[in-house]
Amino acid sequence: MTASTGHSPVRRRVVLAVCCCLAAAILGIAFIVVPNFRTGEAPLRHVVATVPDSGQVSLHLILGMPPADAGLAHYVEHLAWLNSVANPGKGNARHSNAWTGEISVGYWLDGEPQDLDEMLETLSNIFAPIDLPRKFAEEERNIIQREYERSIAGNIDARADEAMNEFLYRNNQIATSLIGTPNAIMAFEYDDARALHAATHRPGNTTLVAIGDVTERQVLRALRKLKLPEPRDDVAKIGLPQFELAAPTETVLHFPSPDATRRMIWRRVIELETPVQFDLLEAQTALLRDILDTSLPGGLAGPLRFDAFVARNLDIGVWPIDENNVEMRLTAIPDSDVTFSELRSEFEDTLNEIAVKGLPHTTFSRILDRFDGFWPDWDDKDETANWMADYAFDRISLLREPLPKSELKLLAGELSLETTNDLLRRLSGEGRTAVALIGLEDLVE
Amino acid sequence: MIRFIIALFAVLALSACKEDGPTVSNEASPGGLEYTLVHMSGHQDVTIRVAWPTDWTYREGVNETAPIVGTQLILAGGAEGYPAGVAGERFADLNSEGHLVSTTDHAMGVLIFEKIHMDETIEIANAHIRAPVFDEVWFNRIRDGISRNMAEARSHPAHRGYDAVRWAVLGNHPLRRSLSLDEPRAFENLVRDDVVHWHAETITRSPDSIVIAGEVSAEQAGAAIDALFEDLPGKSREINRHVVPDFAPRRILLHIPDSETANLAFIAPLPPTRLGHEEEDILVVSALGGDEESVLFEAVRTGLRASYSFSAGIDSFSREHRLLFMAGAVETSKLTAAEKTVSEAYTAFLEEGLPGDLDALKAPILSIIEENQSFVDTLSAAVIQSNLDGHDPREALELDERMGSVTSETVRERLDASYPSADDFIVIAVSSDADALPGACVISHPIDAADCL
Repeated sequence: MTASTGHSPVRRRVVLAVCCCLAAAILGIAFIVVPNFRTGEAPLRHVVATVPDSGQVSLHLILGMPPADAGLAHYVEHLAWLNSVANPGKGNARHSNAWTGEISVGYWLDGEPQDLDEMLETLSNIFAPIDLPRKFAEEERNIIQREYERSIAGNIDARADEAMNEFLYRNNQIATSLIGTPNAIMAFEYDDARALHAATHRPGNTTLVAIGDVTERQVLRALRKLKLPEPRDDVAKIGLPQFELAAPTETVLHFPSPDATRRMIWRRVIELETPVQFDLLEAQTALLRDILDTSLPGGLAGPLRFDAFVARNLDIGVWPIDENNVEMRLTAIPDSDVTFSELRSEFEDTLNEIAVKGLPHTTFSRILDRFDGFWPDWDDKDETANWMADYAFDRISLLREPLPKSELKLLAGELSLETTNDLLRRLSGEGRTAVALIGLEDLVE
Repeated sequence: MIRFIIALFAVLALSACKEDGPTVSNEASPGGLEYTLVHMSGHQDVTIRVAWPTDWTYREGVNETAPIVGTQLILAGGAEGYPAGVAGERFADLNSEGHLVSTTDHAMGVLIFEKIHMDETIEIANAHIRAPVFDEVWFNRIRDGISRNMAEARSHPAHRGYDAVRWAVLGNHPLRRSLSLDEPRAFENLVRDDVVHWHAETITRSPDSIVIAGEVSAEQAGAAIDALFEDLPGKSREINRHVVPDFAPRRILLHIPDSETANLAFIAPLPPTRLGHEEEDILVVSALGGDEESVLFEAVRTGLRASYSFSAGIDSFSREHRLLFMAGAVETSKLTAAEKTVSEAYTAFLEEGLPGDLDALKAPILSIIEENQSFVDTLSAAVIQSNLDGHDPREALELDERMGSVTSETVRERLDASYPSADDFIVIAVSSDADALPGACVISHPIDAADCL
């Protein structure tokens, strides 16, 4: 992978690539240089992840979003999409949709590489002022209500997570519900949505991610033909918001649904002593998750599921919120004669015990051997190209910079038992903890 | 220059050595088991799929929960020489996977592993299918867990709507009870011996189909299959699957006063896949309700603005009884209008055929087919389905060609010959408003749908 911030480095790369190919030919080595993605700033910030011979291209415009009322950014996303890309033309040949994340929104359009110019022009209509009939725009709130019913109202875990997010991430942007409550949804004002759109949907706050059978050169050529809105002084690029963990404490939330399978969702956010580069921390947390998920010594599944009948099912997640903060999540379904309080104390005691003793080296080595699949097979060109494309999209969606392949390949060497144990000790210690107890405490006699 | 020429020859030689495409052949193991070998050069992974026939789900006098509890117990509860949890960790070390799923017609088993770990993977798998422990404590744990999960699922209005459809179509046939798993005390009444009985009569040396895919010779494949089936019992009974569903069109409203959502579904039968034309069916449901460009999305969301999404798909009660469905959650006050809108949109679709560019509609599906044909697990899945349909297993290698050969005319013929008219559907709505579907048979419980004539 090669990174650039303008045009001249591109020329340098071409010259370098030609020299490499000539050298290879002279030495009798045959290879093709296919960088996994390229980045640039002008005329629109862009990341191009080339997946050769795929015959398709996906264009994504991703924008940072500021703190706003719960669900308002999502309403804006619906309206902006309807105002611009909803009918992308070409019948079945193109597909489009949009999404709202915790700190960003994205609009995408899939199609054929030969239509790149036209597709980009269609997608860039998201910058145009929203000009939908007021009645139509207000009706869209009902559509969002249906979305709420589907994704939240009928999903008790989602409702629990919304409540837990508000507590765990208090005073941070990511604490805010993405979709809002039914009352909040119906209270959205069209004019508020238009104002938020105008303040955020600008080229200076946007990254284009192009994935598929296109090169950066083709994307740049298409970008230069676009008539983008002029930059505005009052619209700045919205970057990654700083996460500040609120005071360590805990809350227990009850969701006493009589029909629900009894289960406990336990989540904790902790702050690290020293920051760790995000990609490395992501790998460290994933490795720890894999270890805790086993029935091997040092895992939770042994003591809780196999050696003793405490939880008939465990689902564990560990991931970084940013370079300084890590979250752990456990969903556990207690066995029929185990109370919620017994389940929680058994889990926390076991976690503490493992952390105090430290993970056995044998278990760490064994799980590390299985960890190959976290990254692609770097020798497999196709697998790597696809993986890097997904990775680049993921990082831009998080308003982060993707690392080049050369740096990603080094991360595996930085995983160690010592850092994994440090992370485990932090997670078993002081943090901000939310526990959701779902279902009734109806123990079998 | 000489080096350049050598390099050129090397590249040409590599091109000549390009991996051969998959080949399919029917074989027999030294132990006498017939199987289909899908030879795929250049693959490190191997997949074995087995379809064990069953009519447990069609019979009176057996507990319908035994197959689902039994399959999970085999996977999780340990086996001879492998206490619970041990095999899972060893499989993770080996990068092997094993699954066993009960359907109405078969218990479907699959093993995916690296060829270098074939012997150990098969040894572990054989122990689990041959001599599962069926420990009483694990039995109770899994039975109670599934029972609770089903109770939670039944609390969702849409789930209860489909329960009602099964009552309408299948009455109190055992197949309905097996699909809905809603009989009072069915799980409580299940005892360990029921699972032992189900296992003994199902997991035998007489599957309907065995498929092995990967870079394996017939000799290696035959030995692997004999090892997998070692010491399994022979067939104990003749399979007898008999059910006569009643798909007579009806309009049913399941009234759930406290339901926060309203759901609407249209359901009608489709011919089984053994009769062919699955490629046309895939294109039809894709265009009808596959995504945001589809006919139903356009009609119900964009036009009527009654739903977040409204989709179409194909499901089945069994291999013989497939279903076309159109379904989605809609605004309660627009339920009546949504029924009319869906009906009209479907009628127009039937008359006009596929909208848009056929090649563009095919493109993403062809892409998936081509990708699936390059993996041992997905290609083996296609081959076993061909076998179970009584087709030539080599058809699975030609899915892309068959999809490519679909024309507007063949789709037209398929729509005319096999698709129901809008009036032929069973319409089921679930709503807090008992009057939301005027003229419908209004019921309060799914079981009441059996009396909606």
